[in-house]
Amino acid sequence: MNLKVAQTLRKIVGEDNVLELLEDILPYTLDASIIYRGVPTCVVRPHSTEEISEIVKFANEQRIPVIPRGAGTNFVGAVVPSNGGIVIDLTGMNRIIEINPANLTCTVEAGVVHAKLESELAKYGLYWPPDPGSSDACTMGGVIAMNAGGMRALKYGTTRDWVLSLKVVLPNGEVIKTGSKTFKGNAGYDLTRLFVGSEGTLGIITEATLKLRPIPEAENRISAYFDSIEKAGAAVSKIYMAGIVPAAMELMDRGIITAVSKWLGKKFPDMDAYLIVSVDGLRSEVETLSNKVEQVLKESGASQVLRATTKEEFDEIWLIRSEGATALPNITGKMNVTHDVCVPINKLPEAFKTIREICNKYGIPVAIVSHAGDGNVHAIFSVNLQDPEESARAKKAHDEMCRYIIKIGGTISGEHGIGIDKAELLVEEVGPVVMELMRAIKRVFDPNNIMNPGKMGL
Amino acid sequence: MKDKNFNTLIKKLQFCEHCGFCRSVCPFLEASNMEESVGPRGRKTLFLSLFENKVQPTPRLAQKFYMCGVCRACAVKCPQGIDISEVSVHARHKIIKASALNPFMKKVADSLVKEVKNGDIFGAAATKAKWAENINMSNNSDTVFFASCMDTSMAYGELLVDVLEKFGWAENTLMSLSGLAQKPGINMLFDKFLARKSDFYRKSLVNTVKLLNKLNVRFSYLGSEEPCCGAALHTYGLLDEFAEHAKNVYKIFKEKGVRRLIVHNPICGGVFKAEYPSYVDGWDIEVKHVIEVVAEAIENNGINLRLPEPAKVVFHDPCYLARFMDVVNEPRVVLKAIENLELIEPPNSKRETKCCGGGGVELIYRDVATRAAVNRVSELNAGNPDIISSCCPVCALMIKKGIKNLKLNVKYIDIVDLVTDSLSMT
Repeated sequence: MNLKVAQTLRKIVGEDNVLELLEDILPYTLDASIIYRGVPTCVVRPHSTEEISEIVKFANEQRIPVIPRGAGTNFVGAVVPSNGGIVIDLTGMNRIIEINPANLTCTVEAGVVHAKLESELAKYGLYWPPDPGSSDACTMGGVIAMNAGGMRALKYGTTRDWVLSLKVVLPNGEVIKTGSKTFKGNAGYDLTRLFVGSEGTLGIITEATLKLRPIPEAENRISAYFDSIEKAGAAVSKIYMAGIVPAAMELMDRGIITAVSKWLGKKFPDMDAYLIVSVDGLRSEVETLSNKVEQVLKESGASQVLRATTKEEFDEIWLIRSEGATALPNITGKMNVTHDVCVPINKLPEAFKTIREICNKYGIPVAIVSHAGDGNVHAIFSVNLQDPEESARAKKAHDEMCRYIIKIGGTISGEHGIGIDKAELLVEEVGPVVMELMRAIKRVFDPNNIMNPGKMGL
Repeated sequence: MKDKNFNTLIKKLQFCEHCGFCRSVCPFLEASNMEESVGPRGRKTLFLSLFENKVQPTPRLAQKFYMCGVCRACAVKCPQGIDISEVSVHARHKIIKASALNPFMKKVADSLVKEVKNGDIFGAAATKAKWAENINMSNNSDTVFFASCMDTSMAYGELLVDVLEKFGWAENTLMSLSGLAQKPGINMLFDKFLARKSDFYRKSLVNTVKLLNKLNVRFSYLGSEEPCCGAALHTYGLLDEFAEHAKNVYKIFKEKGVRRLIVHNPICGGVFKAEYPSYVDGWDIEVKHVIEVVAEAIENNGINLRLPEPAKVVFHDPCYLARFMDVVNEPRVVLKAIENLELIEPPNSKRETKCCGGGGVELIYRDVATRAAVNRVSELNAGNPDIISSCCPVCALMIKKGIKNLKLNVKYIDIVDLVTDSLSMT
């Protein structure tokens, strides 16, 4: 690293918080996408918004790329320093600044781990509804920058619906506050919602005020098997048409059921799909809803409908869901490559069928886990990433799947984001005019294109 | 066998999805303010780079792998069940082979090789059996109470860590001087000087014998002929030396007709149970922790146990007891059987227990280890217990350190001592 850069950064954050030796920075060359790599010029570990402001201001003057990073748990290469530059590791900024039960809000620093926040909020009987699968590891800054979703999105929405206000360092070093700590806000353009999901391309989120909810009094889970995944997909729409909005509807296909069965040495019914419906609310309401859900499932052709009301019963019916990702690679001997698309709910049956056909055509084994209630489909490809030919085939299958999803009115990303992985496909979905608008927005905030360049096709 | 372990690890690592769940449970990552390169996932990346020759073994690289307590919390958390502790052990092995340790760590390695062979990792072989001089033991049994040099000589370890903490700038000299204690004459003198500290650790051994006698368990004790289990060789990455040592230990056991070991120190128990089968062909020795024996007795016959004074007790599961020996229910069976004792569960317990900050890190990266100890003791103290109990000499050392740093009134008492105290009242 250039001596002047090193000296300046050390002056800002202190000697120990600038990492530049290969032994220190190699772990920052990748994220959970695994396939994308890039070596940063250095890694900086700031501990305040003011320090970040100084770093970014300096980087902007020097035209050095800046890559904000949380726990690096995203699947799309969003924090890979593909053009080198300064990685700003925000995990050291991990204070929960305030939990305010009277206002139903909390304010956190970017490096707070989602699960840690969840456990602290639970002490007040509160929770923040978005529940990304990476909860144990991911940081709130990353959750917000990637607009993470989760299982409860069908009833509660995604991150974007639960952020009230942000503190952001702009690429010129200026610090701004977007939105307000109020539940309503109508003061001009909604910059908060713009920054949520901006993947670090517009500025660095250092603090966030979040909207909270009391933890529901009760939750029941109902599980059911189907002899075809299309029937299971159709059952999801029928539940809505019966006037029920569950908290979650999770669907696993035969690939997952078989892998878990082999992995755990446990016999499950020989069926094509397994659906778990979760309903929450007041105890009395949950019982009524559960009865209705069971009835709709049976009318939709489900068999072996079971209701779980205790933690032990939850764990039992959740086994296929919780063990799926572990079981697959151990059974297939290949790695899980998890993809993320989203379709209108009534297109789920068709989407399941077509995704299987596409993967079959390319000879790529696929298993499906779907947050079916919001149309979000995770197609898990089993791929030997060491084999370039197989990897290329998997990429072709992925791209064809995404193009098909766009064609049926879906989107190439329900919750994982764009990053490097889907940058080329983004323009196919949004079209050249919208893409140019996005580029124009980026230029307003970041004329020198220092903020996480190369992500989202920007 | 060692290669088999290595190859299995490499194969499993291919399934790593880089999800980062291991980050959430690593006590040393937490104590290092979440800096990626000293966490399990960062170590995995560095390990693969090291074996692909993309990064060279250097003292700086060694730091990443030695700032791991080999506590296996990451292995339990990993959705793929990958034991990233093993990553540290195999990386250390390669770094040692490449002579890339700094001078202090090299001295520690040399000392370990020498002392483990002599029978006591702290070089106190001459006094290791002193605790049993006036104790009645049944003997002539194929069941052996393995007293562990860590228990008999932990006072030496405590002194070494304390001195290194105060005079870290002179760590190389201090490490050289520590070798002096191994001379029998000086060892005897030291033992007198350290009598009070030693009593704290050795008391649990005396009480273990009392308990086993009370339960009519017939057992022998190998006395000064008891070998060191060599756990420290394994965790330090001295794998060739460990492989050779483990075979010798097995030979000694066979010559003595040992078929079953009862341990108090779960580190020895853990390494016998979890590592020896991979390094010693035909390993056939049953290993039990004394608390398993007590729990069995309680479940089979019932024992009247009552603490002299009512006390709230929190049990800290040592990593080696919970994750290497797979013993998690038995301490609870025992503690719940004691009248006047209210058992409270801490956050992170049983297989999900959090390391005390030891695991060898306390000797090299003292600040990080102390922060990890403080973090763990804060968790243990969350329910306002009167007593923190556990059964591992290293946990005892680190928990005492945490209590001292946090200026708490809570006491540390070994579970065996609690049981014995409860026995004497009935």
